[in-house]
Amino acid sequence: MRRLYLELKNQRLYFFVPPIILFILVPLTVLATIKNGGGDNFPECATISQLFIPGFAAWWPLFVLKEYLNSPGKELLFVHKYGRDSLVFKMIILWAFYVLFVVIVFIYFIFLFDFVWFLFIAIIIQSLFMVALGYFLALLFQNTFIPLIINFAYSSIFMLALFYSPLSIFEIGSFNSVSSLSKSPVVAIIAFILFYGGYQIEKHLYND
Amino acid sequence: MIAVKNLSKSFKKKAALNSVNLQLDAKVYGLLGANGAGKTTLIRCIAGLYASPQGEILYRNEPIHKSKSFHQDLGYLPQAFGMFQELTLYEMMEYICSLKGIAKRKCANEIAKALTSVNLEDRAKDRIKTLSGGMVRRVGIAQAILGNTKVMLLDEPTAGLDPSERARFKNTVSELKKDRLILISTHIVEDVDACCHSVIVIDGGSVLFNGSCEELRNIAKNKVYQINEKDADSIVGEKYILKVCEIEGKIYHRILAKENQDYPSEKPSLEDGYMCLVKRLA
Repeated sequence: MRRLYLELKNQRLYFFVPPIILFILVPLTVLATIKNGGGDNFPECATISQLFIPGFAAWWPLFVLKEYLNSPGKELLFVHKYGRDSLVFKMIILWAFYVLFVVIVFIYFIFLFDFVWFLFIAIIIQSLFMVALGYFLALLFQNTFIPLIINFAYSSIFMLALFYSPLSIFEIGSFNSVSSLSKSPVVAIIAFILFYGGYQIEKHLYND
Repeated sequence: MIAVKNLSKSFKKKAALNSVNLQLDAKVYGLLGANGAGKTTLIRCIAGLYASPQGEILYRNEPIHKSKSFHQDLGYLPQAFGMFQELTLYEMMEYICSLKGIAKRKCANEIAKALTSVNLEDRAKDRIKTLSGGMVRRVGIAQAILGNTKVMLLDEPTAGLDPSERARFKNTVSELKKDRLILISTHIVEDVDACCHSVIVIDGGSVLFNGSCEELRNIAKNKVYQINEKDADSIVGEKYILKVCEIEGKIYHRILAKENQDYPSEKPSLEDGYMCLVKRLA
């Protein structure tokens, strides 16, 4: 955990991008939507949350991976095999850490809306998918910039333009029952498949 | 200490190492070779970065990929070093301590010792990105010696260093060499002459020479001639011009010749011996 702490510390100002999105941009945009709509605009707020929150879930993981894939001297991280961490494990820890931040946002949402927990579940699963996608693509392309762009492009295109596409991981609806989470189980399964695929590349990367 | 047996490594269909055999003990070795000769591949193989080379690498008679003590005793400086640019020097060293499995209570002491040995103890709180290129190389050496390492693999440690930094590096190696196996890959012959007990010459993925500096010099014995430019054409047989210099207004050629000449031969340097080998004039 000390190494992960130092890896996050190495991000300096970039570390603060997800908290700024989660604690400033999302609440303010949601508040502005409520004010403009003159009432309970939960579906619109759900769209805003799904646009911003999962999109930034892969931010910290990709910046951690950057040292392993792009930094000069990265091979040093692979030499000490007995001390090294599993990257997939780090990705899951970072997702859990992100979820803690998302919990704080949803505590704020409780005061604004009646049914937030189905949206919360959908968003943490979407975040897991985004982390898994970022991890898989970063190892596949040996690059962290491409997955970052793909993640943001995916969130923007499918949340703003192609809502009803079968390729979209995002949910549309009122989020007031379990049936609102129609895509979430499949999204979770795909996330685990991506983690597995990434892990196979990671093993190959460490061993040859 | 380390035995390399019939080591071969290919990338796609291109052979980078061909049946390399080496016995490395607690000494300072210079690994000499031109760019692309296979130095980095050999060092990476010994560091265990490639899992699938053909042949064997043993550390204290145990294959390195199975040896826990090898990974504890190993200090490695890659050719390019500059990760964790935003961490302070101390934090970066802390990270490497953790990676090497050094107990937390020993870290502060180990880091202080390592930084003192490369004269960077006063820069511990500076961020890596604020250090000069020479300092970053010294940081690389400092991280390699963390944990009282027994085996140090230094890949082109003097590349990009100015003369004073190189002199400092040689002094550092002199201080560290006791009871350690240090393998320094370089293409700068004078670095090897200054701080290595033994030389390994590698060319085209094969070891051409493995012996002492004196033995390498002796390869060029009676083969080095310094003659006036006008007489250069009178050299018999195969030759190679090592350098052209001007002495008291006259141009002289320092020449390596395969056959004995009618001129007095010069005392060979390590570079002469190395060139004699790689130009196949031995």
